[in-house]
Amino acid sequence: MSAPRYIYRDLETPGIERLEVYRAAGGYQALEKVLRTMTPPEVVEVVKAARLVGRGGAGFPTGLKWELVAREPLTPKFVVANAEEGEPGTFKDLPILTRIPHRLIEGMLIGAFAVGAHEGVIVCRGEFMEPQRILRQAIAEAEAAGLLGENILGTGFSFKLWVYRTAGAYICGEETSLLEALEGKPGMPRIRPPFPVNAGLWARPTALNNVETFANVPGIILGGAAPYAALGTEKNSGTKGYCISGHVNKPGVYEIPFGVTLRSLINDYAGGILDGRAFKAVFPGGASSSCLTAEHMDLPLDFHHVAQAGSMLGSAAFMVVAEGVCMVEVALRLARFFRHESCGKCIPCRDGTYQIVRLLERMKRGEGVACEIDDIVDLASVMQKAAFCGLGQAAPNPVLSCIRHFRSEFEDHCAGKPCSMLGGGENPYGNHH
Amino acid sequence: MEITIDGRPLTLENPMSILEAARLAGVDIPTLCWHPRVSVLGACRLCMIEVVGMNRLLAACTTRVADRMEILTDTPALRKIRQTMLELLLCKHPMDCPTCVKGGACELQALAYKWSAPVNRFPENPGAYPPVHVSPFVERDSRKCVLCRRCVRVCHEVRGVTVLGAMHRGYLKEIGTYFAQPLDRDFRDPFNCEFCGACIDICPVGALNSRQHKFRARSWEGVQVPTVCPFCSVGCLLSLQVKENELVQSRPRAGVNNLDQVCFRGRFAVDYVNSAERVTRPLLRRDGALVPVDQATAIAALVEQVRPETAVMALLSPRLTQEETADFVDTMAQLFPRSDVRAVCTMGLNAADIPLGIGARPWGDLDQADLVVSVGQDLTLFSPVAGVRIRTARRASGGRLAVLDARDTLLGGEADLWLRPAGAHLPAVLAALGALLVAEHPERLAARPDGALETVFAGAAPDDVEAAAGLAAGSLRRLAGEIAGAKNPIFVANRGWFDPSGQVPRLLVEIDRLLGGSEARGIMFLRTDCNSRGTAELVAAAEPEIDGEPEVLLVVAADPLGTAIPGSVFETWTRKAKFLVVIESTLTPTARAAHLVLPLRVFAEKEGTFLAGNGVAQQLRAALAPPPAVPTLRRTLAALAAGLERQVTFAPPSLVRQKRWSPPERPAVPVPPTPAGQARCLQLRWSPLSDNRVRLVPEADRIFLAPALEVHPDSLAALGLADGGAVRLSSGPAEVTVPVRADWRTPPGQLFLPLDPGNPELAAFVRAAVRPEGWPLSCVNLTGIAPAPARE
Repeated sequence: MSAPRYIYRDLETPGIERLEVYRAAGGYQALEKVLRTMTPPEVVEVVKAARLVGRGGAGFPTGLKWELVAREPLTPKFVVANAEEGEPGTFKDLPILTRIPHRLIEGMLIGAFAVGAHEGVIVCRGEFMEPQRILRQAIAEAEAAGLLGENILGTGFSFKLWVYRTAGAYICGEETSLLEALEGKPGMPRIRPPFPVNAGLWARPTALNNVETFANVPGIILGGAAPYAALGTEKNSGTKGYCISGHVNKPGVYEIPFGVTLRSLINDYAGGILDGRAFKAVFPGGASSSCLTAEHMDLPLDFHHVAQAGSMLGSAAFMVVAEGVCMVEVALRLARFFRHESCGKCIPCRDGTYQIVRLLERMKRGEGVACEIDDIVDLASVMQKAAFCGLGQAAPNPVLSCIRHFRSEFEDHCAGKPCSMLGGGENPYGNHH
Repeated sequence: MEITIDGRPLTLENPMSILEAARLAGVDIPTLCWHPRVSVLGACRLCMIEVVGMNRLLAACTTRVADRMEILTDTPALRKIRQTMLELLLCKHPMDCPTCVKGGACELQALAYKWSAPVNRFPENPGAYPPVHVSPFVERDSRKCVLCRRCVRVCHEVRGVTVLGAMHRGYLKEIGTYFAQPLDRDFRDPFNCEFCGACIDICPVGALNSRQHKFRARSWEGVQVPTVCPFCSVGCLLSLQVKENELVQSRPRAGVNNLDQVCFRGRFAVDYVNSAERVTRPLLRRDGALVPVDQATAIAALVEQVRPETAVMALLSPRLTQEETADFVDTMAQLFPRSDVRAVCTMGLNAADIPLGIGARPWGDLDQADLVVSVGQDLTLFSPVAGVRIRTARRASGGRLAVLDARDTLLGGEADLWLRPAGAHLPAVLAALGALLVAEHPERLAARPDGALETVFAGAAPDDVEAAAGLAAGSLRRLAGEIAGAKNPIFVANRGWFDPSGQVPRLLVEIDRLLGGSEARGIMFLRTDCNSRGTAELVAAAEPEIDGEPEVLLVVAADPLGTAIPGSVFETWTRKAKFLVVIESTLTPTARAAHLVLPLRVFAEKEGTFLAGNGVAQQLRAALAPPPAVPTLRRTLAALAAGLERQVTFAPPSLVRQKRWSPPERPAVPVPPTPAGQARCLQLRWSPLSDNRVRLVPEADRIFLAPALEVHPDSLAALGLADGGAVRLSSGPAEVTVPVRADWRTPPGQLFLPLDPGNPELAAFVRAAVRPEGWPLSCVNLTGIAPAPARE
């Protein structure tokens, strides 16, 4: 429990959101080191050697991404931070945004230096009003101190940073939709290729990374790549902000090296299941992941192992469900979320999410028939194959996994058996999300 | 690149999408959201395909082919996806195909027939609510919409407007106008809808329909007649659907000219041929009223008025076919040696003053141009499809665009360089441009200017012209640089409304010749009427004298009293004529004032040729049988000759008679009048309602704004005016009160007034205020007299 912290270091220090406190705690030393002693390719090499991968959920190697942007001849280039933290159960970026905004700014500055960008944007989800205020204040402080703007620290490097507030939609967390929103258009995914590294914001090369990814960078620069790479598992190095919520005693966000087991995460960090009940399921990567069950308790939690277990780590948003909860209700609530958040562009996502909710609602009302379970499975498999972007491809995951692991509960609902579990009756909240 | 599609080998030279490659190979991949005229969206997922060796399926429309790809387009997994997509669309689709306008022409029907499985696992009642009227001409039924967004893309990308959009999100998503406002004249301006109906054509299902066409005929009924649009001189190719000798629908015909696009007039206003105001019999004025008579009586009444030595004057319109024009010119010359035939187009401008011999330039040439220069006034207002053509070509070729047009008619905002001189300064601006090319880009010139030309150009000092025309300093120099830097510039031009001596076309031809040398490069001259270019080949172009007082005036297919600027030459002639004969197909204001009206066939009832503005000849086909008593123009002329006991011989068909280019006359570039004291320049302009045929279309008056003084919103306060208020215009003793409208299309500081001959007070004012030199532009004093009424 005493592993080094990269993301949330100094989180408890009072006033760490202020520049002077952050600098007193060693802040912006990584930036100084980069600007005064390193070349952009050296920065990329350190990040590559640290084996840092993106924390947004896809796990793309950050060093490679920066190298691709740096290699593009087209200018200007941009650095964009994805602060559109909208996955249900995810709250790993919020502490950075509200408590340690300067670590994000420092990470973006280092990224900008590495890729050759002079302008950057923090794209912040619409509901994050307070984080935006704090970010803007932090940017103003950094500008006043010569850490942002022209000729930073007298090194000749310039970087201008803005905060952009999107209209607040889950789809805007998808990188190309985020760029669309940032350009003032409705948040809808773009056709790829071109990828953002080649043609992102305003069709210019763009290094688009998650807030947590940027927050890892200053620590890696200061501490060196080797100690970071030594943390975690063979596949994923370093630490991760694990969010844990649901039926646990100590929900919250914990920075732990990759590879912690599910059992350890729940019992050692989150204080065990609430009220001493038994564990039933966990959605390890937020709403869009498939659930894991008791058989996975000793699974080491990194991108690779969770994927091997048939789910995905995603943003490491562990939503724990205790024994005694109706999984049809769980599936329905998650399905409603995706129906609400589908952007409506492609048929499988727009109409598929809608029909899954209709079928699950029929089951909840006792009107379902058993063959409709297979209809959901069938429709879901088409959605996974045919949807335009990750949202629609992942949307059926939670429902499918609930059916896979708890099919008898669905069959009981279809057979009209009364359900005495939590949420098993008619939905008290009506049919809308 | 070597690829295989369903085992068929295919060699490709150019990069393309898998869908395009499959179409080349003749493999049918179903699509719904894909359309060749708009950008790729990738939303319907019907075109999913498999690539051997890839672990996921790909959309054929969004994936580029790569070397050695093995593509499978029809596998059980793909069939499953297609069936499911169609099932998801059909499960809540109103199955009212028997009464749906699109029935039989519906892409969803065709796709379901070929690809869907006869199951519906998600039955749902689509509900019953009536279609919404998007505008008086378009209705929308959201229940049938498949959200392919083809309408949105054609509206934004091809037409350059932003009328339709996708609202809301996910399963609540809906296509509509912003804020769900209906598009009629009270709301249209913020949305700048052109009422072109492109959204109707591109809709794959029955979600967007023409209200005019609805329930007139099923898609397969009657016959489709290929023809040409009778309105402006772009020469859009039309297909007229005719059922039981009634024109039931006009739609664009595939072709390079108009790229499947038409404007409001080509689609909806051609419905004027069904108008009840059709002239079907000769009408003779007896006791002050026009009464129907037979042709013999009518011809006898005309013969009474003329002798061979009578100085018959004739005004014909460029709406006639080239053959009719030739027949008419020949007949006048043979019957009345002292006759004088002139051509007049909408706004009352001389229609024949386009310089001859400038060659034909197909619209497809725009695709190769590295610079398009759009010159004139309201070019894309009266020829919206020219804007479509320029915009589309530019997207394909990446060429640059320069625009010389005061008002914002959608091209300016897209241009690399946009100059907004007041229309009266256009000749001076072009002369200065010529002077700059000669002086600063001699290396670019293919021909040396002759002495006379240099004199014309020398009169225009660029700096002075920029100052007078209100252009930014150096902007003309930039334009000259753009033109000199282009290898293959193309001019798309009109004459403007303020060029009484026809200087704009002459100067443009001079500039084009400087750049292109002895080979005529061709300029696309667009006018408000379809056969202007052809008419210029056959009819004398000389400047008319305003003092003429015709004994007998023959007006053919023209409407000087309804569409010309009051006080202009041809309008004055028409009012002064002692005996006015109008040969016309509908009862225009001019026809109503005539002593004798002879019927004429409408465009849909005759065969012939139009020479489009780019010089390309196009065939008009008879789609309708004319009413029994409506002869061809040739027969009417023959009957007139017979009445005079004369013979006329009609020349064999020949489209162009004066092929040789002769150096144009070069009067000095006119200097626009400068307002003195508090006076301001008022610029009259064309509006769609200036055309008598448009006014005959039911509900056309609901979509075009009633004429009002147009002022840029930022200029209102400085002039003491208020949006929605009124203004008193005075010029000498003449006065008139007109409403005021804030109009973002008008440049700050300029004033426009759409021509409204239907308003007698305004007509009298314009007549009195037009300057003796014939400028259709007046120096007026403004007095704001009423505050804006409160809006809800």
